[in-house]
Amino acid sequence: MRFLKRLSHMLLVLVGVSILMFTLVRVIPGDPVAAALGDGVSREEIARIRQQMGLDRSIPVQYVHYIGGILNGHFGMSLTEPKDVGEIIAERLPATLELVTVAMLVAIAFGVPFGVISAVNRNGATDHVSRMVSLFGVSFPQFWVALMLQLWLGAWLLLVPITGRSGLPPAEPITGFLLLDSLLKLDLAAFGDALRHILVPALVLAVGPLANVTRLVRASMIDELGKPYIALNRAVGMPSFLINYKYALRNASLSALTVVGFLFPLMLGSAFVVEKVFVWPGIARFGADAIIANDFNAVVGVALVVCVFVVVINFLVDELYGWIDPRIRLSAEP
Amino acid sequence: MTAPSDSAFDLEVATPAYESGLSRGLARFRRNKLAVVGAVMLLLTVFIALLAPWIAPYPEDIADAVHFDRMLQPPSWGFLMGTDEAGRDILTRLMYGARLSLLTAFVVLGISVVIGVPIGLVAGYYGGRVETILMRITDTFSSMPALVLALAIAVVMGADLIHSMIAIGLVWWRGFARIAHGQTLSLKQEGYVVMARTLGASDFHVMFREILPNMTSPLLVTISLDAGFAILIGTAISFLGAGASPPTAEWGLMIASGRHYLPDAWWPSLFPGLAIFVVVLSFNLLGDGLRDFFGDD
Repeated sequence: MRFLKRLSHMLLVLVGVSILMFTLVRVIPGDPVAAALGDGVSREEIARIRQQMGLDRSIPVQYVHYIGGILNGHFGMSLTEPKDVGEIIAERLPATLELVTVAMLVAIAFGVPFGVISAVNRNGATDHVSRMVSLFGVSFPQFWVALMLQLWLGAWLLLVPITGRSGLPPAEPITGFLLLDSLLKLDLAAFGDALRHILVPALVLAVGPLANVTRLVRASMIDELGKPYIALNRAVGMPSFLINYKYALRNASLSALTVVGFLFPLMLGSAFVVEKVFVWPGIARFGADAIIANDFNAVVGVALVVCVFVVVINFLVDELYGWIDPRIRLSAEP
Repeated sequence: MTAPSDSAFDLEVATPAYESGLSRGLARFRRNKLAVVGAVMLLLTVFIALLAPWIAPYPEDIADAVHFDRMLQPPSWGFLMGTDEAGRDILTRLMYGARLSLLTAFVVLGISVVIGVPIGLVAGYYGGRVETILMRITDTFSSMPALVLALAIAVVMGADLIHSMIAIGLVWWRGFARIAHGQTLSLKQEGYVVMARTLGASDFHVMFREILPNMTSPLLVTISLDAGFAILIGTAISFLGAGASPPTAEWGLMIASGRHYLPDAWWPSLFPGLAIFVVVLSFNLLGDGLRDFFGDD
């Protein structure tokens, strides 16, 4: 029952998102075709393309038509590339997902230990340093960090490639995730190449989120360490590393799971600037380029896919959370 | 202590409690030295922004001046932060750019508060179907990455600095709606609100005169913390080309144009980024301090 309720809520949000994006790009800007083609195109030509794209029909009809198309994988033609936007997104999606996944792993792998150490040594030197670092982390403009690291590690120290996703000729994809594909093929050279390409973009994408993870884990650890069972364990003489890492961290890490839910929108948003700087062939750079080119189908398509991902991941994380922690599941039961 | 207390409303009792609350808050704020650092840096930024025409070394460089004789010069005594691709002094442009960043924070938060707070208030106050509809709309906005949605809106409005500010505001209100909603739900139970309603005060009066003034502290904390994020998103939009257009001395745009001269000329892209960092950090430090000050947990 709870599942169905939450599922319907999610679907409602998705419909809201689609209406919003549709309204935004179809209703407000006037004539996207004229804007995209520029001056010097005859009125008949514009009318013909409008008809071809279905822009001459009423707005609700266009919307229903659009949703129907999307459910069949048709997002409409891109104005910058002679292909369906859905096709382009499908080609480029693995690159973005791979980047975001690696960034997420970096953020969690460093953020969780930082948060724990910070909480255990609350108000100690380590805590202050880690709080400062996380405060700095959320204050940097990411596109600038991207440029500076690209300049420093790529152009000056020549440690990593400056742009792109791979320096090798494209291989037949299995999953589309280069790291995974190269491992499946046991091609270590390709794996190393992909790793060298993804390292810096993923690191940049992880900077802000890492700070968020540290803050969140610190807060939930402090909360957990203040609970009576911890005091009892201390009173009976349990060693503190056991208390900290076996009990408190285990309970606190449940709340760290929600991190994945809120990091996802954050990272997909920043992916727009990070992919742009590193010329990463993902959907975010396609979206960023489309925005400059007034390619409205592409903008709606990318924004819609990004939002659908965010909404669905949040839904799954919430479900998983309730599934792992019975306290949540049972208390939410009506 | 001197006035004889012959009134039923004895202020002698109430005042010290208030004062000690305030002084305790101030003490907390002062103890949080970082917050003071943030406040000072922010004041400094405001001064630089206001006084830019008088203190900037080359005021004529804010627009499309071109100096062929001094293009892309590295930092020196004459040009502390070097010159850009048109030979313009970067320090001068940074000083003027401070105005635009502060303006971004101001416009974005102004729009967000004006849209978000009433939505949250009305939803929390009336409950029922009104609440469901308003909060579902808020959820929809919250489900989208702010930068993506703001970019899309900015592009639709036509790439322009003020459009990008409005676009971010049209996205950012959701956080304020949520805070106002949560606050209203709890404040609505308070005795003075129930009293006002019992005495027949209008809904408008109860919402905006009784409930709203009592949620100013969480709103202020959020405004301070969000100001930094608004600037980050604003500069990112200009960096991507959907905000300010040349020759505006906007920090994100300066980085975007300086980028083309990397890796040899690093100064046109390094310094504007540092400027963004300093201002955003100040807002974050101040926000943290305010949160402590108001005793928020």
